[in-house]
Formats: sequence, C-alpha cells, structure tokens
Amino acid sequence: MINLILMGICLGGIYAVMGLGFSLIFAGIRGALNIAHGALAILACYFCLLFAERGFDPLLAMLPVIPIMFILGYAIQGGLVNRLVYGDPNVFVLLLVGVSVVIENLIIVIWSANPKTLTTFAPYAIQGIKIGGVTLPLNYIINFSISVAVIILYYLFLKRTYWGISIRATSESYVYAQLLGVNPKKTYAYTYGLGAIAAGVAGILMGLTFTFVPSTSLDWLTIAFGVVVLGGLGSLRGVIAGGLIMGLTVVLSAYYLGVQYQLFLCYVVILIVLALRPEGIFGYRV
Amino acid sequence: MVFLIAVLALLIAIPQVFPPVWTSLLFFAFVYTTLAQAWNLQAGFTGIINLGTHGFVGFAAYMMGIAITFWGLPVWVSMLFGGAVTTLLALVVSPLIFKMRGLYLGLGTLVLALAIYSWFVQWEYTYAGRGLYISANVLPVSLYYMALVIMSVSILIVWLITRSRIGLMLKAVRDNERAAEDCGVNIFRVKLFCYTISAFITAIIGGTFYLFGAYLRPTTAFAFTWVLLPIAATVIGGLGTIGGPVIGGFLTAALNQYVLARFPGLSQLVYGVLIIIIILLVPGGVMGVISKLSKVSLPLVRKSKVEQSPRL
Repeated sequence: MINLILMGICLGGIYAVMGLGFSLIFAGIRGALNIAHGALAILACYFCLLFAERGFDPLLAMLPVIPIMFILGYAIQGGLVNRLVYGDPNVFVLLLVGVSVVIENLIIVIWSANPKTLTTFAPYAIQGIKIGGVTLPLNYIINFSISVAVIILYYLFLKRTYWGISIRATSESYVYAQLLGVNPKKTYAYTYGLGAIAAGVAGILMGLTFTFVPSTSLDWLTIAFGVVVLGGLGSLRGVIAGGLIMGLTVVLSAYYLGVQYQLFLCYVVILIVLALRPEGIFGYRV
Repeated sequence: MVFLIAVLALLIAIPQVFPPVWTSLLFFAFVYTTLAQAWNLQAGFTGIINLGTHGFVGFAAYMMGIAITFWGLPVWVSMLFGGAVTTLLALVVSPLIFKMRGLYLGLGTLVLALAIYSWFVQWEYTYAGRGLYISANVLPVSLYYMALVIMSVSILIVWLITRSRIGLMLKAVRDNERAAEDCGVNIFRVKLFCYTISAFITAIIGGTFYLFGAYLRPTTAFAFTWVLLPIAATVIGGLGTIGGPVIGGFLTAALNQYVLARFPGLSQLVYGVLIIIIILLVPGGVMGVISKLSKVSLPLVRKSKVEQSPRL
C-alpha cells in the first residue's frame, strides 16, 4: 500500500509538470487553452527518441530538446496564435486543434504509429531501489526529482526574473503591461515557449516510464487539463495539489479496479470536478 | 427557392441515373454536411465549441448496433433508439458540461467523448476492441436516400431555428453571454436546446453511416476524425452560416475521395493544415469569400467585431 502511495506521488510529480505548462499558457495568455499541449509533450518524446537512438542517454537528451521545444513554442505562438489575439477566444481553440492535429500526424508520418518507449534506452531506469523497506522503480524516483526541480525552477523564474514578471504582468492586463514597457506579443511568445518546455520535460519523463503512440498526446492533454481543473488554474499550489491527486487516483484505481477502468475513472473524476467546482481547489474564477 | 427544388430533384435522381460511385460519394457528402450542420449549430450560432462529436457518433452507433444485433429490432427503430439514447445522454450531461464557462467547455466535451470511448474499449457486452458486426442488410441506395432526407431535414431545422426567437437567443449567447443573461435569456436552457438537438442529429446520421459500414470498432467509431471533419467542413465552408457546412461538407467529401484516397494517413494532416490556414487567412471560409465577392450580405458571419483592443 505504501508502495502504491509513493508511486502515486511520484507520478503526481510528472502530472504536475504537465499541468504546469498548461496552466502557465492559459493564465499567461488570456484564454488560450492549449489543446496542443499533449501534442507538444509527445513531440518532445519523439525528439528524445531521435537522440536516444543515436546512443545518447534519454535524460541527457533532455538538454538539447529543451531549447528545441522553446523555439517551437515561440514560433507557434508568435507565428500563428498571436495573430488572433484581438479576436474571439473560441477561434484560438480551433486553431490549436489544427496545430495539434498537424503535429500528431507529422509524427505519424515521420516516425510511424508503432508503440515506442524510452525505457529501452535507459535500462537502468526500470530497476527497483529499496528505500526503507519499500521498493520503487528507479525511474519513478528520477521522475519525481526532476519534476520537483522543474517546479522550483519555474517558480523562481516567474517570481524573480524580468521575463517571469513580465509574463505575470501581461497575463493580468495586456494594455497596462504595455504601459510599463513590456511587449505583450513577444511576452506571449515567451510564455508559450516556456509552456512548451514544461510540456516537453513532462512528456520525456512520461516516455521514460510508459510506452507511447502518437495518439497518447490526447491522454496527456487530458492529464494536463485534469491537473489544472482539480488544482485550479493559474496557481502553482493548485498544480501541485492537482498533480498529486491525479497521480494517486490513477495508481490506486489501477490497483483496485483494474487497468481498463483507469482512464475512464480519470475522465469521470475530471467531469465531476468541473461540474461541482470548476475553479479547482486553489484557483480563481475564469 | 426554385434553385433548391431543382438541386433536390437532381440529388434524388442521381442514384437512378449515375453509376454507384456517385452514390457513395454523395452519401459521404450528406453525412459530413449533416455533421457539420450540427457542429455549426453549436459553434457558429451558439458559441459552443464541441470537441466531443465523436463521442456521440460512436455512442449512437453502438446503441443502434446493440438494438439491431442483440435485440433484433428493425433498422428504423434501432436508429431512432440510438438517437434517443444519445439525446438522453446529452440531456443528462448538459448540467455538468454547461457549468464550465466558455473555454473549459471545449475540453469538457472532449473529456466526455474520451470517457465514452474508454468505456466501450473494454465493455465486453459489445465485444470491446474486437468489434461488433451489425446484422442488418440495408441497400446502399436506401441509405443514400436516408442520408439525403436526414441532411435536408437537419438543414431545414437549423434554418428554422436561426429564423426563430430561439435563434436570436442563440446568437445573443454566442456574442456576449453576460449581456444576453442581462437581457433575460436563460443561457442554460438555450445551450441545452442547442446541444441536445445537435446531439440527436449527430446520432442519427452517425447511425446511418454505420449502417453503411456495418462493422463497429471503438477505434474507428470514436475516431478523432469524427470531430475533425465537421470542424474542417464548417471552417472551410464558413463558420456561422447555413450554406457554409453544406459547401464544406461536399468539398470535404470530394477531397477525401479524390485526393486523400491516394495518400491514406495524410488526411488528418491535411485537415489540420487546412484549418490553420483558413482560420488565419480566410476566417469567413468559402461563404465569406462569396459574400465579399458578390457584396451580398448572406446570413453570415460571427460577431461584427470591431474590437480593436484585446480583452483587457
């Protein structure tokens, strides 16, 4: 039982990072529900695969993939979504649906839809490690440590650096941020880039733990959405809480109800929370 | 008016005169158009971006399949059964879904569809992933006429709705929810109305489609293509218009048949790219272009948005 709870917490860490990027993009770019989040995460996985196949360790491969994701995210926001800033937020969603579909299908074309996983390149990750009488797979521990590190980094970035503060300013008010000398469109692009990085890191961590196919991007999108819904948009504490809750739900339901019901239960929980308390635990009303 | 009757007559005559290839092509066109109309009713006229169309298509198809194969009900009854159950589902789920303000809605509908999918993937009653054969033998020609009727009726329904008082309320909700509420529009009822009617239309046409193929598997019945196609068709044709989904539906069917049959697997990619390009460059779709060219103001477009500054 303790085993399960610990695993749930570790999984919750990755989920939190997944939700972090999503929340950042939504809060940072007023009203942009990043439907393409799952697609970005999966893309990072496949990039990582590229490096891993050439002999790099997948964790190390994260290093080059991060700037790639940032540039990609920046380009998507700057090139495409920024054009719609003055318009109707519903159209954002449609546009991002298009982007997500394009990314997913490019992956299918380039890499094929066969299931893959990064664990084949990191065999050390599946071994169990004993901590005080409990055995955990090493990759869960790695995931958790990296997740925690990422969350702390993002927190510091948003609080202490110029770009972090300008992101927060622009998210509060597009116009007033301009008054303070911030270029809001550029900031949006940075925000999306950062969100893409978070998605990428979360994606790679998931890839290290599970198998994936291009359509898994939808599952990950749902996880990101679920985390944010549970914990509340725009709140770091919320993301952490949401991630932990989802992680525990997934692990416990898999154990007690069987793996087939796992995802179904997730979705039901999300729907119920959305109906009863749409702003989540720590969030504020949209 | 005369034009419409002529077109209708032509469509009725086609299977009698032309080779079967045309029949199936037009069948797909009818299906896509109907789905696009239903989606457009939600998105273009009410502002509900429904990303979960595939949930209803699959659900209705499965319900119909169960009725035909396991309970032995006749085809008509089964299709109506599928439609009724799906509408019931929409009714039940509406209070949950419409609590979500604005943008959450789209993802909520997606999650709903994924939930339904994940249920059918493991439901042994319908053989889970192995698929269900629908033991009905309906002639393609009958299906053609069925689809034609359904498409025409749905276009008629949407047209009537837009001219009615409810239609005015729908558009008000689309344009500015809070203002509509202040004017006394019961937003929940309006959205409920729209959502359930769309659900019924989607269900019926989904059922018709699967009478054609007669084989149901979760991966195809709930394929994302069932969302992507109506979206692409509506966006290409013109969001928020009545002619838009029709044009879009026919274009999409033609695109599928002639271009994409040669490059299977690229279809979703092409639709994705098309959606992006059209949204950015030609947001009014084909109808938008037509109306600009002919200077005629068609029952067109979304908000006449003169919003120069972004939402603060």
